[in-house]
Amino acid sequence: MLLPNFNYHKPKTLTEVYNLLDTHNNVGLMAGGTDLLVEMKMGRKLENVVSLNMVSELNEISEDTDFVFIGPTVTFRQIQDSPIIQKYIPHLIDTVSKIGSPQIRNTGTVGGNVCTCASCSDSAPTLIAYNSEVEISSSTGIRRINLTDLQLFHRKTSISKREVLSKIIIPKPKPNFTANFQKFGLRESASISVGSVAVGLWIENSQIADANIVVGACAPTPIKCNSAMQLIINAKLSDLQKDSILLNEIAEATASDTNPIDDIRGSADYRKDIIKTITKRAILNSINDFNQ
Amino acid sequence: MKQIVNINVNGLDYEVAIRTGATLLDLLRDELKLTGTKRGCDHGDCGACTVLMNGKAVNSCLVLALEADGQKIETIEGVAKGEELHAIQQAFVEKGAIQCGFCTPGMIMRVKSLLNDNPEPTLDDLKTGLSGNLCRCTGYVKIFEAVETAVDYLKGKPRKEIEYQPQKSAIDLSVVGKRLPKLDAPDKATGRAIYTDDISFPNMLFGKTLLSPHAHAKILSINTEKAKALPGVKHIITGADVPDITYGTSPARYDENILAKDKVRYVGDVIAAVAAVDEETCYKALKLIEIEYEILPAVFDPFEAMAEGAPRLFEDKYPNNINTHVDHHFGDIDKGFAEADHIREERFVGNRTYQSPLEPHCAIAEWDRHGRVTLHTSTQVVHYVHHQLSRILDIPLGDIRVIMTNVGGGFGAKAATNILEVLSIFLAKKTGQAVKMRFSREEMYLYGRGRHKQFIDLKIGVKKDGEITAVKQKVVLEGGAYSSFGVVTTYYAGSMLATLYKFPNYKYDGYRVNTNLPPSGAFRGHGVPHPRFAFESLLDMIAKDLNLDPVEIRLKNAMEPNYHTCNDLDINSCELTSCIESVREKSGWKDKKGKLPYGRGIGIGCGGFVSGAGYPIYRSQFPHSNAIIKVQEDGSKVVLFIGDADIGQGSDTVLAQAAAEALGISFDRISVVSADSDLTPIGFGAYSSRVTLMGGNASKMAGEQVRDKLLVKASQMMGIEKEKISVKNNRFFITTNPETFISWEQVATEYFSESGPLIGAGHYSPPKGLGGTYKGAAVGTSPAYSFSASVCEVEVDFETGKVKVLNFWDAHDCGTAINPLNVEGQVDGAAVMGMSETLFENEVFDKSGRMLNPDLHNYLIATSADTPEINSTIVDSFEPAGPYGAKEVGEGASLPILGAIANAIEDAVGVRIKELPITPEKILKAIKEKNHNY
Ligand code: FES
Ligand code: FES
Repeated sequence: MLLPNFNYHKPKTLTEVYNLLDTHNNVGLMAGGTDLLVEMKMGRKLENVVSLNMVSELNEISEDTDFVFIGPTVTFRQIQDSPIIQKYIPHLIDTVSKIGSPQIRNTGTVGGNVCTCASCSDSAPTLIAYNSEVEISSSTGIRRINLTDLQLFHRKTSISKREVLSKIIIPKPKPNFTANFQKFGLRESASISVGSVAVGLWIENSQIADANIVVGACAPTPIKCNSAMQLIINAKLSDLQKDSILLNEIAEATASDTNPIDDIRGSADYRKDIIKTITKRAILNSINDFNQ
Repeated sequence: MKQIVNINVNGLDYEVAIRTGATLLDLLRDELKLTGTKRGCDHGDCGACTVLMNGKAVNSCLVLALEADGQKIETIEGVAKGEELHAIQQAFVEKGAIQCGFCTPGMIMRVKSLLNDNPEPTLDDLKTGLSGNLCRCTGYVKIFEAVETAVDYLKGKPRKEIEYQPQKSAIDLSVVGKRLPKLDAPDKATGRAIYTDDISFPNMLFGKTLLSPHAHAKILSINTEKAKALPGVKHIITGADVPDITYGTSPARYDENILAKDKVRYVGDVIAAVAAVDEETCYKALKLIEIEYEILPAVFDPFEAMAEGAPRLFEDKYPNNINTHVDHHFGDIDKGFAEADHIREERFVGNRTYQSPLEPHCAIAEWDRHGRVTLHTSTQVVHYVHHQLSRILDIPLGDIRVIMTNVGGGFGAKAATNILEVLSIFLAKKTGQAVKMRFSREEMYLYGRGRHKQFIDLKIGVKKDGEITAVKQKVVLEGGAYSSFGVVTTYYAGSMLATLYKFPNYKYDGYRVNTNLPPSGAFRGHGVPHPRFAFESLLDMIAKDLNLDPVEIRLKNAMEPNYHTCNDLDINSCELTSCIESVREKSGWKDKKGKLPYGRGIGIGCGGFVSGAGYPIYRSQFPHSNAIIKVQEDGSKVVLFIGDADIGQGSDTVLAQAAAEALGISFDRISVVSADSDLTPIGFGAYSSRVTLMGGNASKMAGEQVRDKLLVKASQMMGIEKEKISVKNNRFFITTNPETFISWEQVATEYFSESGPLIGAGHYSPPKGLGGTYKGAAVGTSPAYSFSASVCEVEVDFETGKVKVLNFWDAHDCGTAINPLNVEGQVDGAAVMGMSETLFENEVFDKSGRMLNPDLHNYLIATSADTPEINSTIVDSFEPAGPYGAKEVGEGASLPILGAIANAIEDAVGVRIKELPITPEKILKAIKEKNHNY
């Protein structure tokens, strides 16, 4: 349907953004707009749209000694082209290259993807596997929380209406870190995830020292699979082989940590089957990468 | 709420005041009138609206116009340098990468940005890189070829002439049988081709429809007062304001009101229409229309609908909601099964799929002061629209002009008169202004007319050696709320099974059942793909039971030339056997079948279709195709006027080739005017794969008439009997001494100077008396039948069930291919569409009959990334009924695909999926069940 009219604001600084948020109600913050505009075309009503695209400080990829920072209006394409990301968070490149179509990646943003907070968001599982945090700011201050605490439910975040997501903060992984992202969609490209898994592993002395196993599209938000993570932590790499008992147990645990629904893309049972398979693949691939 | 945008488009600066809700696409199309950029979905799913923003490809439908302030935009209009095409455009034209052309501007823009980033892409780069640009026509194969060629051109490499072996029947021909680029391709490559939505008239209004939110309800009252009061609203009509006439597709089942009269029968049924100064106002007005409904119980399952006591959609007709029942028995079914050594019966279930042409339907109506109305519309069949409008409006055909603009794909979705065509005329009449109406992508799905979902019980009996002795088929078709093409669909679902394999005994029971869902209609392969899927699957199952090779069992039963089928259809040419042998050879069948590792598999399927229906949809004695050829007074050019419609399949080009061959002129001397009821003689349009054969015969005949007139003249001029003169390549020459000639234009000029206008007329009617005398015998008759075979190789991920189709090797008997390049394009497109339907596509509804996936985000169709390698062969064949021996290919080519894939999957992982679409979930479930049983 036709996009309805609204008041359009184009602030140039974060302070202006805060001002707008403080003085206006029913505001939609727009980064790439690839989600927001579709929602509005399908009937979502917004009185005010605040475009973040002229706020240059929100469009930066930067680093310090411990962290990589991604501004919320950084597009998927910018991530794909960024030497910093390539160096420290290579799996994010692999992940975002599986999102949408090339055109969508040229305008769509990680910030938008995280804030739309669809359960099937593909960037969130990988970011969570890296233990990412987010910075949320407003005229009254800045707070920093885990990404897992941002995403409350399908399409619901903990950002209040006077706040804006100002950074995604990703700890630079230690050399003992390895990761992998697996997405299962119904066609080869431009498809919505039926299920996805991001695995992050910290390996010491041929053993898993710490781990994240994060599943997307199988619960109201991407979720960390705690019981599976407990099983894999301290596991010996030698026990994590194709078809090994432990690997199967971890896959089972991952699936039972999820809470998928039946929808047009697949039944809950099928999703669990998929999760088992791709969890195993993600774990084996990340170990493989590590060994190379 | 307008704001100013400063924007640079194709190097020009613009300052535009625009409403805040406008997208960049709206700005380009509506404000700057740069209509080359297309609106296919408006939701970022199709890529038709792709433009470059600061060098990057973006979907302009998902960029706010205000966000483009200060940016540099490049659109298709800026790609060519004047008349000189860009290398990419040139390659798209030459390689046949353009069919309907609706995806083309976006595709070319995307290719341009891709080559900027990556000047030498691999095939895989292209497959993923172009996956945001959907194309429903080409199957992407020729697009990849075009990009590869463009890469060469950009590097300065010269054009490679490709070698190909002409068919035997085309060796002596000079225009027919040539791989010629489509006449309309350059316009489509540059964004110059005009589609209906690209047209706007001065003072034009927009119209929108109010759709039922309920699947089944009585309308108690409608109040339009508030809506009428809205500023900008010009007129509103409801059921009370339109004539009490029903319409539809087949006269026996005209059952649709123009607007709902007393009740609505599906979510999407049309209740009212509003005309206003813009679409925004229309939408606002629609919200203000107040309707009181009494909700009625609804029924969505055809079996429930047939049960006693089920809610009835029509009180006065279709008892038990059975809209059409067919009961056919040929030969002796009991005797046939008694003779069989092996009998197997299975249930197969099809899927509800939608044609999903890239261009949404659009119509613009305008009345003049003399009481004539002109309708520009995106239709496949000018004539049926014309006829139907004359009935509805009760005015003579001569007072209605229907013009088909370029059509962005149809596949059956645009084969009948649609509601936009009718309502825009009513609104235009009431307001005295031109009215444009167009569907959104969602409205296309809701309006429906896609493929009937079929429930098929198929039973086949064979001898030990595989010879088929009897076939019994019962089909229940989910019809949706209205008849549309459904009567014909029901007959086709039965009749066409008998054209591919020889069997003497056949029983067919068909039930088309009304349900409270969008009406089902005609979709490529009309009614036949699901029964064909069932048949090809069951044949493989039987071959397995009997330890026969699936290829052998097909060869054993394959149709042969000059055969009279058990249901009284007459097959002329038939090269099914050589099609099967060809694909067996090319695919390496013998080394692969049953021998590939677990997870890999190979399968075969066959198919075929009519080359045009033997009888019209409503009874008339008019020839089915008619052509006029008019020669310029100096003989320099010729125009072919033809009523048949080029909806992207390339018929204008093919018909021009047939005419040029007959005329003896080269292809560059002919142009075509088609599908305009004022200018072109009646033609039944583009459905049932009829245009090549029927339009081709009419065009050829018109050409021959001109040629014969000129032969007389040439004979006088050359002083030799006309029997001794030949005409070819723009020359009249002495057959035995080709160097003695006079030019075509000399003869034509002479003729014109003496006798006035040089014109020729041609017409084609199918032979009289086709088919048997039983009820429904007309459906399935045709002057000629096509045949195809396809072998498919797949890889199945047995841990997820996901299928990747790797290859198709197919072979086609389409008679003489008038344009082999076009045939390949049809075949590629049919294969990929067939694959997409088999693996991905399905319309899903919730419990209240609301469609859950009415968009290209959730209703998945194949992207470039899903495209397998396709290797097609056109076998030698000659059809006596066709022009220069030609027959159809566009629909028949899709028919082998469904079964071939199902059979390949069975070969790969040992499970037989009998329900479409064959999703990973169904495969995985079957694998698990199978492992469990061991
Ligand atoms: S119209 Fe923009 S992506 Fe389809
Ligand atoms: S040519 Fe691509 S959609 Fe028709």
